[in-house]
Amino acid sequence: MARGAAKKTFLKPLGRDNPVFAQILGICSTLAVTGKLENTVVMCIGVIFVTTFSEGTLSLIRKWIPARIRMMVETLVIATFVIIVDIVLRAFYPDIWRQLGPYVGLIITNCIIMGRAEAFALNNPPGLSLIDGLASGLGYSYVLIVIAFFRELMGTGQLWGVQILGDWWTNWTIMVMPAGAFFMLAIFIWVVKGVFIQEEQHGK
Amino acid sequence: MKSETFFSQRIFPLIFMGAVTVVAITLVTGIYLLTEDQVLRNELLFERQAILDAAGIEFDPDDIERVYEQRVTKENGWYSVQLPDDERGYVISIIGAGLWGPIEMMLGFYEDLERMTGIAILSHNETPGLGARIEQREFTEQFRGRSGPFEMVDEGTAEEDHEIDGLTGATRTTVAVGEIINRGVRNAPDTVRGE
Repeated sequence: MARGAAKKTFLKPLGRDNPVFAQILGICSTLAVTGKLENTVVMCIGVIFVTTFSEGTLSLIRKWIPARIRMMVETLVIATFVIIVDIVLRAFYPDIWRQLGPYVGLIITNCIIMGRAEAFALNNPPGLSLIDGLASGLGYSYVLIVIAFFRELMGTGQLWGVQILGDWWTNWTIMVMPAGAFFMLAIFIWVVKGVFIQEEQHGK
Repeated sequence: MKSETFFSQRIFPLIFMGAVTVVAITLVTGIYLLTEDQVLRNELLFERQAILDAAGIEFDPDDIERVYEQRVTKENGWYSVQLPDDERGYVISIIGAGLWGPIEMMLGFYEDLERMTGIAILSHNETPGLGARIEQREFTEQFRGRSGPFEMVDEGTAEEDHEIDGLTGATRTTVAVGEIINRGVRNAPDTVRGE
């Protein structure tokens, strides 16, 4: 039972309950940081770290958090982990920190983290909450990485800063502009909902 | 069921919030203090790297400190640099308006304060993938050995000595960078030799 619950908790955010394409959460950062694969991966690692540990921490203290100040506590815990990510990047990966700029700080306002804290961590034990946080972060990450892959490749002909496509390729400038992220995200949601999720609904 | 006393409704939340805040601040402050030196060192290193870049001095990324100590002296608002052929060079820092925010640069000059040894971008907020290409070598290298004032032209069409290839898709950033550099070129003699 416990293992079943853990597995279910882990798989849901990766598939049907994916925070990005099913719940349409965390769109702001999806649009902002997917212009380059490298930045996206660093951002995703940051988000995974923050969702996992803030959900775990909040779940640990959930029985003592007074209901009327729970959102303040959630924000504070999340902000603490985000600032830790920011400081660590700044100290050890200054180049990437410089490129990500304000977006690391904006993890605080990432709706996924707050949403999962509210909906899951406050009602479930720490172990499950850690798993849910990790899975939500991963669910967010793989969508972003797919989008960033196509945006960087089509927008600049490069991947991870390395030239992949030859001279014959004309860069789709719009792909690296914010508008490109809207197109990519929409196409991604369309494909996922059209191909995968629709089948399940027919089966019901 | 828990009874709703004055304490549990009004006082306990305050105490709880206070306690959580203290823990959070302690944690963040601790990590900040642990990494503070590293962060300062990174910033200094980045600035020194930009100065050497602008002066056109080649260096090993692990060796920035030593090369800098050997060749650069900080003056009042500018840097005096010993160039590779023992000539004297100057590097000045300049800041100006880009498309989205300020662009901070280092401009390097030969002794005549006209011909440039190069430029380096310190910070900017230009569009990633478009205007942000001003950081890339293909763009910055164009200024080496040239004299201003410069004219920014369409990417791939620069022919004359004062013409610089702009960046397609980032016209406004290119124009802004051109203006900042031209202002720096104009003011360089005043900055270095005094009013």
